[in-house]
Amino acid sequence: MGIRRMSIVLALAAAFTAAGAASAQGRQLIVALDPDYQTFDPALAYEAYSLMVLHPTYDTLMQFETNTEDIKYGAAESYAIAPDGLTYTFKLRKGIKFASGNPLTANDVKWSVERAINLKGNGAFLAEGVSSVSAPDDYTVVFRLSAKDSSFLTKVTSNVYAIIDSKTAMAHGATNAADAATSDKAKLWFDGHSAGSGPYILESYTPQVEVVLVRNKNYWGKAPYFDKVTLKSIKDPGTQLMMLQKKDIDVAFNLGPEQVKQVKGLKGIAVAKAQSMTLTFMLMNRDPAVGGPIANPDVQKAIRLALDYVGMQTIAGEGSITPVAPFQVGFFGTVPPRDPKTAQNLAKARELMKKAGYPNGFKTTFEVPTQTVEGMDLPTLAQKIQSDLKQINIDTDIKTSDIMVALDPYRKGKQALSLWYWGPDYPDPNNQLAFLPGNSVGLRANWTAAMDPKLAALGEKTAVETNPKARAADLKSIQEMMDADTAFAVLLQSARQYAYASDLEGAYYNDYYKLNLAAISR
Amino acid sequence: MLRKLMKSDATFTMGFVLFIGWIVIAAVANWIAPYDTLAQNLAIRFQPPTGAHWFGTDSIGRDILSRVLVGSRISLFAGLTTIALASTFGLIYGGIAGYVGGIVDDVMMRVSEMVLAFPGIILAMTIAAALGPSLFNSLLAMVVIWWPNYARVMRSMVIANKNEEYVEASRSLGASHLRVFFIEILPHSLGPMLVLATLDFGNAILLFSGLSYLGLGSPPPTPEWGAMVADGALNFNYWWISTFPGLAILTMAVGANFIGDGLRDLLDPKLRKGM
Repeated sequence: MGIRRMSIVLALAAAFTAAGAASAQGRQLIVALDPDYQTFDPALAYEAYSLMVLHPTYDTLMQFETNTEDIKYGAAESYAIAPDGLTYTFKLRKGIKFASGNPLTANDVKWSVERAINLKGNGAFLAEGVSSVSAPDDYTVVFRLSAKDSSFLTKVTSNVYAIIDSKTAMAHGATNAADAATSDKAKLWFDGHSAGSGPYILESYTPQVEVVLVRNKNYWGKAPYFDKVTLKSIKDPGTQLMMLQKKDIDVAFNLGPEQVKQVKGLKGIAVAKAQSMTLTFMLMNRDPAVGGPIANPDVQKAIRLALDYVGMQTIAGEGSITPVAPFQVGFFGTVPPRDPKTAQNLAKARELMKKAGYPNGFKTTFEVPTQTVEGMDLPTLAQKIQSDLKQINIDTDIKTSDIMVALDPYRKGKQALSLWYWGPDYPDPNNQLAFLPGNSVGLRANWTAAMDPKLAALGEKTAVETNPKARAADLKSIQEMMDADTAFAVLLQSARQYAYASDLEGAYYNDYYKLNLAAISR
Repeated sequence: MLRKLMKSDATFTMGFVLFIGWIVIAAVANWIAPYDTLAQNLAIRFQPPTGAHWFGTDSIGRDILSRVLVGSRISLFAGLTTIALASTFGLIYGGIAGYVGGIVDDVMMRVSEMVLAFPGIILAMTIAAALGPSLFNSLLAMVVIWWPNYARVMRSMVIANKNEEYVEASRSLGASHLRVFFIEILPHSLGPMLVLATLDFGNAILLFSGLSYLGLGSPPPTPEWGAMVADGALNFNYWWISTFPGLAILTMAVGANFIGDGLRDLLDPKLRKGM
């Protein structure tokens, strides 16, 4: 946290030196953001902002456009799923060329996916279910899966499946060999270059400073409006705002609710709001040895009923909502959010506490990482929750710690009561099944499959259900069951707010790509 | 003596008034605070200073004036405890090193220099972060980085005094080491320790606020000044959230420092200006 504060000063310094660079050659777009990207190797990158750069520089077989709800064709022009649900055959668009001039063929797809699997990067699990990739001809790719997966097409939009120009990459030391994790030498090269067929080329990357993208003259699709896109790393929202007001940048991407209030109504600045896919939730351990009284399902229900959702949404800022279960509103099959005004029921909560055997309440620790989620400070939210829980006689000691310290006991299921947030790995409800009993996040609350076998089984069925109608019905019953009984309290799905020069068009937020850079024009 | 000091030294007077003022406030804080320091009211969050809330309200609608007043207790307590523990430990440690001398002295002083070699605030941050944030842990961290100063001053005083004639005299009369140390040497060594302690008091309050600002002090919702400044830093548009606790830290630390300066001038004959 100390480092973050110090970096505000550095960011300010950077902001002043950056000023004035805006008026250069050609059409330029400058975006200020607080990114987390570490690398631009498509097989290794797995940060929230990675796709913001990788989506415009590489093609994927399938892709999303502005919305996460409907999937579109990318480099593929059609696909077919075999009746067994295990074989996906994609036909490639003809005539796609990489920025280097090499033609994009089925072999490049096969090579790229195999490299991602063998490099074993953080995102490699997205290709875990792929047992083999083959390229029977130049324009046909066949994926064999080891198990049915209803989210496979969504996974294909991720950068793990980005199609790399294999000839160029191999010339720089890349390999798809089984021992790629040790023998691949291209990571550093990928950090400063791209080898894709997207509308832009990665021209340079200076960590903590900027990413520069320039137009790909060989792009097969509609040419993007801007010749050059610069993504400036500016940590501090206040600095982003100041730069936008001075017109040094076109988009200020990381604004908190308080900054947005300042620019609302200003001439020449538009404010946009979008639902973020980040969930803030409370974990309540089901293991009595860890959670003590918290482990009682009635207590957990009482906690959910004791919370003041209107108040929490006020703290999280305008546009935030509360989903009924850990499924984001906006994903396939998610039911409408809770009505915050009626979700609190103190009388019923107190009754449940009595039923659980704690009419006079109890004392517990409440672990909170010192972290900001979409502009909302978690310790501040924790203090609000603390005062809500006091109303049903649960006395909480807030224990704040750095996220790096807090992650370990969280992942090992050693926290009784804690406040956390969750950003989806890919925009599909299957990702959220992690919260089910027996799955990864469920087990962090020691909520085992044996505690709710019916729900666990339904989760397993949904994960492989490819019929959209049946899948939607399954997801609906999962959410209803989790509304009645779960080891979590879903608190908030924040809104993300950002501001941009009002003459920009197409600056739509998308949780996956953040902004679809190639679609923006002036 | 106090009157004499106050007459001759304007800064001492100022420091004295500020500091005594804070002690009085801390003593009666719970009675004069207009609101409950923990009472939240989201309907009035981020309110600028008004007649009802003289210092405004914070990010969850708590009264800042009440929190600043009650917060004085925590800061004073933190400052006092840190200095008391650090100086007591330093006194014993430095006393032993200086009195025994020889190899014991060498080893003990090298250990204290090791601690001094670390940048203080970074070491305190590391300790507080590793143990987890709580009032006790941050105080412990502060004591750990602070005691070597006292040990060194104490040691040098003991070495300067231990061969004085009155000490020799006491020893030749058959006094035990303990008696010689506590009755003869210690009283003559306390002056500089006292000055150092008052000067450090302000620094201890500052460091404690700094740790709390970084989230390493007492956990929320404690009305701690440093943590309150941090709340304001997250919500920068609302100047009053940081300003008032910031001024409180300033006045308390400056007060303690001015008193320390005055005491030093009084006790150090070389600096005494015709008093």
